[in-house]
Amino acid sequence: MSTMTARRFIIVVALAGAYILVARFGLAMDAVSGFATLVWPPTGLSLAALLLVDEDAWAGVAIGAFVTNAWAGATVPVALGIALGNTLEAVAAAWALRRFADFHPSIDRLNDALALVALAALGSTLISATIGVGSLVLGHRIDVEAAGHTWRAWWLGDTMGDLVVAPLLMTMAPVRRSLDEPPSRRRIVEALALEAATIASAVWLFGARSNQPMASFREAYMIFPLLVWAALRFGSRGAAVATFSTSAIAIAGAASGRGPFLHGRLADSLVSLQVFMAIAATTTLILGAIAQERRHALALRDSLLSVASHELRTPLSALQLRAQMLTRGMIHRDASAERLEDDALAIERHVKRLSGLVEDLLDISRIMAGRLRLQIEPVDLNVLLREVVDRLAPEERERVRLEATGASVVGQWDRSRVDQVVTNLLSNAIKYGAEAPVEVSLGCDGDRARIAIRDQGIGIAAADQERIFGRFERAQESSKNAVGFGLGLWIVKQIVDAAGGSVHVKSELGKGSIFTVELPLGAAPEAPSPGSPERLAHR
Amino acid sequence: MGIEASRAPFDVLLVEDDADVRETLGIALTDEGYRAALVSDGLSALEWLRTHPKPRLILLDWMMPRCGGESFLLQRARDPVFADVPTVVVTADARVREAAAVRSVAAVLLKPVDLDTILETVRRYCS
Repeated sequence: MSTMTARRFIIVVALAGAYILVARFGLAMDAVSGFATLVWPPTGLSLAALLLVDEDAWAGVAIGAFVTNAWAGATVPVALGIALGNTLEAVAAAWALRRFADFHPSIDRLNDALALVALAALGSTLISATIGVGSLVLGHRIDVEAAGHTWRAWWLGDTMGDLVVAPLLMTMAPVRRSLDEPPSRRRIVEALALEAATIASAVWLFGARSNQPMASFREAYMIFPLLVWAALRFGSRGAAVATFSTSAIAIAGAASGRGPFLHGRLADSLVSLQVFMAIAATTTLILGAIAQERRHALALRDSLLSVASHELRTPLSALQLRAQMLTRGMIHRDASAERLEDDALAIERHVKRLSGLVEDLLDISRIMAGRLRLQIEPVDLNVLLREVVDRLAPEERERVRLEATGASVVGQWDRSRVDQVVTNLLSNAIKYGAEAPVEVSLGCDGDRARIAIRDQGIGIAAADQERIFGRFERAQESSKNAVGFGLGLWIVKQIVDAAGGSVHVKSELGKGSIFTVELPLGAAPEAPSPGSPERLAHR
Repeated sequence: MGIEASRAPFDVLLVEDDADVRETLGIALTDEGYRAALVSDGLSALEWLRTHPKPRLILLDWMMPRCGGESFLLQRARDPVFADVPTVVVTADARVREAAAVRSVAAVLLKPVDLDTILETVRRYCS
């Protein structure tokens, strides 16, 4: 058995086991018609497992659901039907979140929270409720008359699983957030105090019997200030933990005949409670995601300002020194005319370089605001590559081997943006190329032009190869000592995406990297590729 | 590497990855009559130090590919031959002043660096 298959086998078995365990807990909550429960944590568990661990581990959901339902007394065909519904629900939710929402399981953007609510909690759960209840009716486990309220219970239970359990699992999973600092002691104390206050308040609000003092005063909405505190201060993770704690206590309260949601039968009490908690969970998750998005934007801004001021100082240094040397030479009249000319030309070069850096910063703000415009015209890549190489400093130019095709490769592109892409990749190859030769090759593959830039430098670890195209990201190997905004590859990717092309890297640590850019020869498409985070404008 | 004409010892070893700054400082030092060797990162600097007589001063950038200022200082400290060469860090990052590794250096200068300041520093160690 290959390592991959063995790994998946373990995941499937673990997922099936965990599914059965949490499902037994859900079924203990006064199941409607014996199967539809008002709290169905396995839905959240399945979604989190497919999104976080292995999207192809759906067999774990199928086995877990089948065993659970057969154990609860379903015949084999009915248990198979229910398992099919539960599996399709999880697979459809994971697929839709990835396909339509570019979903982050850390729910750190408003779009993630909205997608989780709409596509998973409200949408995919319809599949499971419909197929599950259909199986019960067809298997004569329930009457057609009971189908309505069983379906409602089923759907609400699964919805709660996606809104309360999935966010907890997904936001607690460790993720690498390059801009986040480790929490301070003060923040840990605040988080613990908040959690204690939430638990105490939830117990007070949802754990009171109707004959206890002030019972009529204990309204469920009183929990909101704490949920808001959790969301605003601790983002989606805080929102998920607070919502889960509150839900668990409220459900336990209702199950033992306590709290403000008592309406006779437990199932009826739980419906009121679930509607309240669904609204509370949705509101808190959305608020948490917005808070996190805002915090991330502020951290990004601070990081940009700090990196920008740092990186502008280096060329500024060269500029200042040259200007002072020129002034000295002119004041003391001891410099030759050639020397003064050299200084003046160097100053001009440094100013150009500084304006390039400032332009990069403006590009970032343009791209982020969706205002990057492409001016399409016929461009010959053969000529463009030569121009880029010719602009390099002589010592750098000596290291570059240009292997262009003899024939011209002409396409419809934005000349200055393609120039920017090539310049950026080439200067990276020179910077990280360990002073070894850098090869630039140009080719045509059907209706796409292909530029490959190969260095023999420090290389990029496999784990970093996707990440380096993000903002402020550098490969681990180079980050400690690297220079530049850490934005070059991000800008490259945004420009190439906008031109309807693609950029990827092949690399091995210590052996070097090959960056390949593919651009369609025709004009750029009207819309950027689906994975592109920002919409870029065209004209 | 290097503006090296004869076998006489060098005054300054300049370690700087930015080609513009390296070139400019090299010219400024040569204009003032100092012999300066120029290298582009900490690794090249260590190699240079192992193959040449000790310079009187090392001007060291902090953030460089392959081997930055911090790694260079750690390795310099381990080598008895050139551990005592006075080193001045020239960096764009003000936070470097708080780094533990810079305790062993003679000074930390912040970019954009002033021509008079840098020449005054070099004069102090090379006159």
